Amino acid sequence: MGIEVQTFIANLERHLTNVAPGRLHSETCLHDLPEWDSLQALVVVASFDWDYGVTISADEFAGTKTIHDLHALIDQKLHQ
Amino acid sequence: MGYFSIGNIRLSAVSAAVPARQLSNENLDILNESEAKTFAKTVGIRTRRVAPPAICASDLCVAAAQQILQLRSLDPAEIGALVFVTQTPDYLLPGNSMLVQRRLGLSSSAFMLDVNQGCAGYVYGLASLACLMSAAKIQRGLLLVGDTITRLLSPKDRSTIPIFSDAGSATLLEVAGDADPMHFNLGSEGEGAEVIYVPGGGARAPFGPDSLAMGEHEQNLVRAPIHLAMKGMDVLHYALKHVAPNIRELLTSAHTAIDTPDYYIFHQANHIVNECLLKKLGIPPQKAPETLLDYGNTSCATIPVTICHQLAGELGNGKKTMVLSGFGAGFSWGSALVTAEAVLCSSLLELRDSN
Repeated sequence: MGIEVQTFIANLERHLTNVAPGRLHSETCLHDLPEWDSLQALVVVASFDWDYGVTISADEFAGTKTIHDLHALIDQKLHQ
Repeated sequence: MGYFSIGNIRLSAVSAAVPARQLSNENLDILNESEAKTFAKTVGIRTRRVAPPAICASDLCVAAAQQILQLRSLDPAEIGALVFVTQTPDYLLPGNSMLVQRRLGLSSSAFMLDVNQGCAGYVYGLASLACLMSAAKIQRGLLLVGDTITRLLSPKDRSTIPIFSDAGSATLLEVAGDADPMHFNLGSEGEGAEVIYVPGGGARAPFGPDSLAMGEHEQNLVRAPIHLAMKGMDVLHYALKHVAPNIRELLTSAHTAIDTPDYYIFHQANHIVNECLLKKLGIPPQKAPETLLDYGNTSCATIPVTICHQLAGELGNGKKTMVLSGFGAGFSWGSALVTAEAVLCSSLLELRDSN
């Protein structure tokens, strides 16, 4: 059993303190958020390490569009 | 990754110097309000020390070395080896070691060596000097580690300006029959050579008009080939991937439990990395002092800066064990397990412009 999408989103919201709770959904593209910048990207990548012990590269991160994609990537890495 | 240990060498003294000029990250025009807020919270740097043109890494390191020589009443002729770690030498050649040999008045028979290493440089320097002293039977050696890395930054690059800071340090190693071994674990991955690098001005792309051509990579990320370029996401990735396993392997090889060392001195790159390392390794934050807030990322000098700023009063009393861990340009990383007993360590020196 992988990470629940809702848990994944709740964890992201906890770290992305600039983003108001409830704004993130499975189809949200983080890069399109007005609050998004390169530092938020660092926060997100570090949060995966913090929450799941999973490290992703800049290229892997750039290869995702939506939160759904990110969730799938983390889930897959978690089960490697 | 490579583990090894060196016996009979003792860490005797640590000294560090920063430029007196302090710059704040507040109201930087290259960070917008939201970025500035996130920056303070995640990267955790409020002010930086920036050397004026008259101060080089060599000057900061010489000040630190002179302090050790004076406090220990050492004759410079007693120094048998000097290793200088920097990425910002005074000149392309000769190396800084020879320049400071003259200034410190060291003997012409002393072994002088320059090492081009970045944020893992303190650990690499310590390992190099300890190996050299052990192999060549040298009684006393000085390790000088420092950078004026701000000289390499584009003033219009928001990915580097708010982070980097300048400092220099000196560390005295001495042969001592009763010293606990120093343990090292060094690693690198050349695949990451371009993660932190200066593409222009070397032999591959010699300095010329193109070296100064500013290019906009993103908004507020404008730099020329002569400037330091850093891919923050990749640095984070490499650090998260390699540093914690490297420290675990060091301690396992040295038959030491994670909770045994009194201190973990991490390279001060950013607060997020430090937090992740503490969590991964299960170390309480009070064992891992930080100096990011006021001193920023001083490249190879963050470890001695943190030791002098936070532990100057501690290392003179009793026996303490420290894990020192750095990572950066290369991409390279390394850690050391070192025993500190009656280490001469005074608080940070400040160098004024007129020096």
